[in-house]
Amino acid sequence: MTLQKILILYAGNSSFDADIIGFSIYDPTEKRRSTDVDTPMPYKSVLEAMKDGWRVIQVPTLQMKYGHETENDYLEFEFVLEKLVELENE
Amino acid sequence: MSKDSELLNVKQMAEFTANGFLRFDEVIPRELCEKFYDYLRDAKQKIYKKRGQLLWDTWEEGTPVYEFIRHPIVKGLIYSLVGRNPRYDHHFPHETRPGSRVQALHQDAEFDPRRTAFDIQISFFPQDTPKLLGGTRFLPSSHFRKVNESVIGRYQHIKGMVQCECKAGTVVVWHTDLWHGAQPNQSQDQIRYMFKLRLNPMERQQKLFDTTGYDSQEVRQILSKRFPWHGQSSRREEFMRARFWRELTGQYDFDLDMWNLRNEAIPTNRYFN
Repeated sequence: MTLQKILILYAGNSSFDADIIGFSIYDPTEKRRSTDVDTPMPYKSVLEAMKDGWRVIQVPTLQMKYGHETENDYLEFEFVLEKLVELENE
Repeated sequence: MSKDSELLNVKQMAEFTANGFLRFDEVIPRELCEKFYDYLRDAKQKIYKKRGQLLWDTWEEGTPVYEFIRHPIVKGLIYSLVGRNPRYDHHFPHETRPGSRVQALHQDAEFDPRRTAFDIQISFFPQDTPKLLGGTRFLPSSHFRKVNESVIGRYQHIKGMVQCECKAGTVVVWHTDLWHGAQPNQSQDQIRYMFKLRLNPMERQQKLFDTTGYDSQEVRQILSKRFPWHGQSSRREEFMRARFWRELTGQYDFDLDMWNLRNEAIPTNRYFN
């Protein structure tokens, strides 16, 4: 069976080599994920994750916030990556 | 302590503006913590009081909460942030049992379009709360970002997030828009209790604290504090902080790095005046 792991990387700007400022991992093969607030970032940049075999499946949309130019809301630069894992037959 | 209440000073208010919360370690006496701990274990206390009434009328004399909100530090932070007669919104004795899962990151102030006015939440930890018991985690400086409650649930790790590991008697007061969530209780047999109280302001939140030195270099440094997770968006945070500070102090020409002043420079054409 092939399973999909999803890694979401939040970057400091829209560049693939910008510093990572946050991440989420959704891994169906994982038994327990770390919830520690000081869990280290898994990669320095999106590019580093790609070197490790992660495939980018979504890049952040760039947009102007007309009327809200001076405000922030969600994390702006969200990259979604995937890795497929083969499970051995049991 | 002889004073009835200890108003916040400008440095504390600047920290609140930059971080979105203030923490007061071990300020509530042990005896009151013990009374409070027993109160939190009583399931009846989860029932809301009459919502919308003034805070000072909400709990009867002799109850632990009556005593807690009148502690000079607690009373002072209430006066400084939401005024002398705030409204009781709701309270909740949080009970986190062993084996609990992590709570998704969220913001309590859903559907709240206010820009400068704000509610506060007071968290009181009446027992020692080490990492194992899983105190609340907060994302410092997230309070100016309106994200509509639970939409941010998929965010797991963000640089600079903190967990409230503390000793009994610790109080944290926070802006209602601060992103937060409960950490899992990983102990074998200990329940974690935390009392939360939300208050609405009933007067303009301006000059309610000790404003001496509101424009000092030290205050400006605190207000200009950078957070790694803001990335390239950090400058927009300064716009919002400066506008918030203007409202808190009533000094509408205050700014950081001229971010707002520059945008406000729209001269009228004198030829037609």
